[in-house]
Amino acid sequence: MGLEGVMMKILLRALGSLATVFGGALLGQAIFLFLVLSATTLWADEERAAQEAASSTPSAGPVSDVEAGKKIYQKRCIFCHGVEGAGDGPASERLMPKPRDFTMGLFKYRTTTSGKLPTDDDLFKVITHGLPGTGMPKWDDLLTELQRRQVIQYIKTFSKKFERQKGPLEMVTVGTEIPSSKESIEKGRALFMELECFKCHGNEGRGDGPSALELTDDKGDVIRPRNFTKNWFFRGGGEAKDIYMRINTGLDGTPMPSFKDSMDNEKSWHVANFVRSLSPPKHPELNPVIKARKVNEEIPSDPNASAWQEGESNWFPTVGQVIREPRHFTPTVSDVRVKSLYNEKEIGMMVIWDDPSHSQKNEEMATLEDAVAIQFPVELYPGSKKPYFLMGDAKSPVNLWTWKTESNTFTESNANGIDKEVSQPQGGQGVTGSGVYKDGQYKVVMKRLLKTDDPQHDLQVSEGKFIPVAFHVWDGTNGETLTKRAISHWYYVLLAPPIAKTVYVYPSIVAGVVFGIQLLIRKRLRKGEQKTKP
Amino acid sequence: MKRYRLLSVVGLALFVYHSAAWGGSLSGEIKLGGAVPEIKKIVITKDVEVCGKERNSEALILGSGKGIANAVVTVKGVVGKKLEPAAKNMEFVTQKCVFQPHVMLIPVGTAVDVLNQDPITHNVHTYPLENAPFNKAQPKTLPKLTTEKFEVPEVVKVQCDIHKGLMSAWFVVTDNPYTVITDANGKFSVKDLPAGEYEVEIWHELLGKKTQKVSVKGDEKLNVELAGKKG
Repeated sequence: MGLEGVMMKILLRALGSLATVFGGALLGQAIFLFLVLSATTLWADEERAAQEAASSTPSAGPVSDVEAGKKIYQKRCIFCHGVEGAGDGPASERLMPKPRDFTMGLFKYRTTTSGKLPTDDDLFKVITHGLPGTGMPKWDDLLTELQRRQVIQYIKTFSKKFERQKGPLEMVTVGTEIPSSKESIEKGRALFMELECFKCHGNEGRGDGPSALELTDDKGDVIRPRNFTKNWFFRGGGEAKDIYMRINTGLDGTPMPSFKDSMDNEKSWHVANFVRSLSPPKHPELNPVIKARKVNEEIPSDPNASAWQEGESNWFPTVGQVIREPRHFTPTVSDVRVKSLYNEKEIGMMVIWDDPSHSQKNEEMATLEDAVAIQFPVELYPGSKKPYFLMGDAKSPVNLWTWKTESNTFTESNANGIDKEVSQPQGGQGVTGSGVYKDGQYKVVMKRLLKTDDPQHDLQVSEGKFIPVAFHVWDGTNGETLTKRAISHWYYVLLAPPIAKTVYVYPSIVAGVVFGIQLLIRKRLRKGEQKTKP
Repeated sequence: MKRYRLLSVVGLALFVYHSAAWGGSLSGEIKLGGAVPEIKKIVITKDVEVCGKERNSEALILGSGKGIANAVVTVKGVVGKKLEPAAKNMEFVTQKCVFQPHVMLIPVGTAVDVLNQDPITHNVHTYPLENAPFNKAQPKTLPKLTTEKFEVPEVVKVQCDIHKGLMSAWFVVTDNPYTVITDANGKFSVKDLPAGEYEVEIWHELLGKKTQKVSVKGDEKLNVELAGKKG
């Protein structure tokens, strides 16, 4: 499932809860939906228009029709890439990464060698499939192949380099594939260290190397090294063959250099296989219900304790908070992973997320710290009713458990909206736990008693109930504080008790009784038969 | 006195040599105007065993008497003569996380050999507007990298992104034979100038550009002050 699939799922979930939201909250949610929609450009009417365009009037004229390309550009591309192709359209300020500035003649995703222009097919691939994890959507459904090829001819007029280019471009050729294997991955890992890829991409490939936070692209905009554990965000494709290409071509206009002169075919495959192995085989599925696992021991505060390593985690996407000012369009955190444990007394939640910077609060340097908050409703409502997903509403408060890096302390609070958060008094604070940061990843455990003596402010947790839960994450280095944060939608945590023995007993009794009755009937029938026989 | 006599003899010789064009030379000093700013120290946090722990910024190097090193002096508007491509590739050396030289003249049509003498990986990333862009990794296993030929006159920034803020340099691509770089004390000398009225352009990476008119009849002197940036 691609990113859009996930987005669609989020949208559907959001739509499902619309019915339960009212007043100003409804407006907020509608804006949120609108923005998510526009980010993925899933416009129903646009699609219809495209189908019409595709079926009735395929652009007349040849591929080289620059005028036709210009018309397409002005209709489809101008909002991000700008009138002059300088990547400065009105939407550009809210995008990270910024739209390509075509006037520079520098292109990241190519099959040509370092410093060379892309081929038409390279550009065609980007336009056709889009660039996952960026504002660049795929256009294969909105533009015909001819239209895509025509717009390429127009894009090439923005830089004189295309005109000057004489003769064929030097290409990176992919040699015989070395299929991924334990051995190849190990060799790749050794090369990853030897070539010092970790300097930017980090020891575990989470984009947290010692040079990671200083990097800028050729325009001076901040750029971050790719996190190799989420290959669905690899712009040029997430499979080994794509990684092979990127290592050899480099990403022109960015700090990513070409390693072609240091590699051969074999080494390229080893590194590509290693990098591919850092991501899961498939995009994680969105399972909205966290099944809390019951344990007999005390819930460990240490996220590295063995009890926390068992079982699968749930994966939830997060997006920038774009409803309340100041809004945040470019959050660092794209998703969180969550596990839950409980026992007779307590519930524990572990949140895991990637962040390339371990941000420290420093008033002098005006730096901010990282933080995470877990959000529950204060009370469970009948049906699917929940407080407004963004920290509750006037009538339905939420209960928040927050952890901050700097103080390594936990606070419990209540909110009736994003700007109406009130910390609970000293005596009411019941959340404990522990947070660790290693190799670009946070793991934070928070736990609290299932039942407290303050049901007015604290969620009372019991087994067998679908308890709504949502997540908020802040990356201080990315300027995230207060409303500027990554948020998730509501999901659920379910304390699923181990299956009781009665589950097996009653069906057996019923089965026994039924069998007995059948025997009885059989006996009666036989008797009847005997009687009727002469 | 003896020295002056020698100079005048040399000067006379040069005068005779250039008698046909009634030309001469232009020499002098580029100085910093105003107060000397505090030289920035760069605290190094990565690869300290190779790069060291601390270093002065290379963006502004002052010699004796506030002379500015690494300023580029170009006499513009001389008709006729163009700089030939160099006979062999220019050499650009990486040593202890320093690009050397910090400012390098590259005749149009010449390529550059980048020699990494460090036991760590660097990347050599150029920021041209007109020339072919270059960004290649140079691990210790690859002691020599070669760029493409630089074909268009322009000033190109060079940077190692892995050691950003520490490793940068400038390629001055030119076809003008009357282009020189000031020495450690800000002194420069442009020789073999035909007589005429010219514009002299002074460029420095931090202090920007300044132009001045000169009239060359013989051996001329030119001292220019570049204003320090405020703050």
